[in-house]
Amino acid sequence: MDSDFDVVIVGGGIAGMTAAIYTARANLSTIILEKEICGGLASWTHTIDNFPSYQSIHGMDLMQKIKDHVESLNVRIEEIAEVNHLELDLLDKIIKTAESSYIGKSIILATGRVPIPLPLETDWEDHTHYCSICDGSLYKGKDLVVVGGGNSGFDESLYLLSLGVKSIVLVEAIDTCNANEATQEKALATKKITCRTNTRIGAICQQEGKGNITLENTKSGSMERILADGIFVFIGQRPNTKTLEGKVKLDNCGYIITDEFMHTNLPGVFAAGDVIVKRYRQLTTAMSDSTIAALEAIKYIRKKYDSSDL
Amino acid sequence: MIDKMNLLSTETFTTYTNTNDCLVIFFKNHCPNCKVLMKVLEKCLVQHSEFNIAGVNTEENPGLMEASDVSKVPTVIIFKTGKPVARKSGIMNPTEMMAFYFNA
Repeated sequence: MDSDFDVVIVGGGIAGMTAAIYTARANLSTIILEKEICGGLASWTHTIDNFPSYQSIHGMDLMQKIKDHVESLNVRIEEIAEVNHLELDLLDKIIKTAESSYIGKSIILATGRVPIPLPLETDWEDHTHYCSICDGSLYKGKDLVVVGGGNSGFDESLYLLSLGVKSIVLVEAIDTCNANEATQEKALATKKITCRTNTRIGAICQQEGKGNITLENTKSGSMERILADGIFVFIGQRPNTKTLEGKVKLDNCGYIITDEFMHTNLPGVFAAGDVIVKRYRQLTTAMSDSTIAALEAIKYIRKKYDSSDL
Repeated sequence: MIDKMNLLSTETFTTYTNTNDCLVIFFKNHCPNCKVLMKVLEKCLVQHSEFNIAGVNTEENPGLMEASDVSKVPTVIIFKTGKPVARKSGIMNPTEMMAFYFNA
């Protein structure tokens, strides 16, 4: 059965939820369609220290507070609702999930990004992890390998140490780690983290309950094997735009191209958050461009449907 | 948390799984994938009220995790006549979950 809404928001992360607050407060009927649960990647962050109003807060707790705000405005939220079909070039936008279809006068795409999996086949999947909040506590007193020398790799390594992990070999494929310098210094000062640049994981085999991990030097090609109890992977994210291919204009990396007002190439179709082409991807920048996207969607609907401008 | 989920502890786990064919989800409170899978199970329950779901909070019962050879959360294990007959870690969508449950 079709359900009509003024605004259909695809994605329930910080961008989607912020946009919903604005459109709902403008008395536009609004629905959020989220393929998993609301919160997005921020829910995977154990501590957020740069969100104004909270000196420090667990990502999941912050996202729950925002979701509570959204729900208080009678926004309809559909979780475990993966969009599998979109018709965006019509006046009324058609959006379908496995269970339902929806019609929106306007649509805001806020599908975010998804973690990149370790590009390696292994029979050690039970000990290959992507979420230190979920699985880190299993490795108290154990030795780990962390893949990725960005902010996530270093932040998560520090978190894993706080859980009692004995040692970490942090592996970065290029010759420098891109993480914030202060975080790198803090991590290396623990003396429990060894950083290996120019190094990638060549292979992982099981050996007597542990992982026999081949570290491959990307410059010299030399190999080294180490034993570890688990491996945590933080090698970045890719835009979640598979279903948008051929629907809206994307750049070569798959990010949605917008103008400064978050318009895509299609009328009535806006985009915001980590999924758009931009330099900085933070909670605050996602909130900023989703605010703009929502205000533009409101303006678009008013102009198109009842001529009463904002 | 799912309304119809029986929370198991070290004291109740063996008796419950011996006497009930059920799906047990091993979870943690602050685990995003666990929350996703809980929501998936809720959806499955709407369509199939016969789904018998039990849960183990691994933070409160770490010993059960080790005893059940669970190394990551969420992990779901299906018990039939007291024996674990299928297990899977990570998230599934409702279709995959129902196939997993009914094919076990």
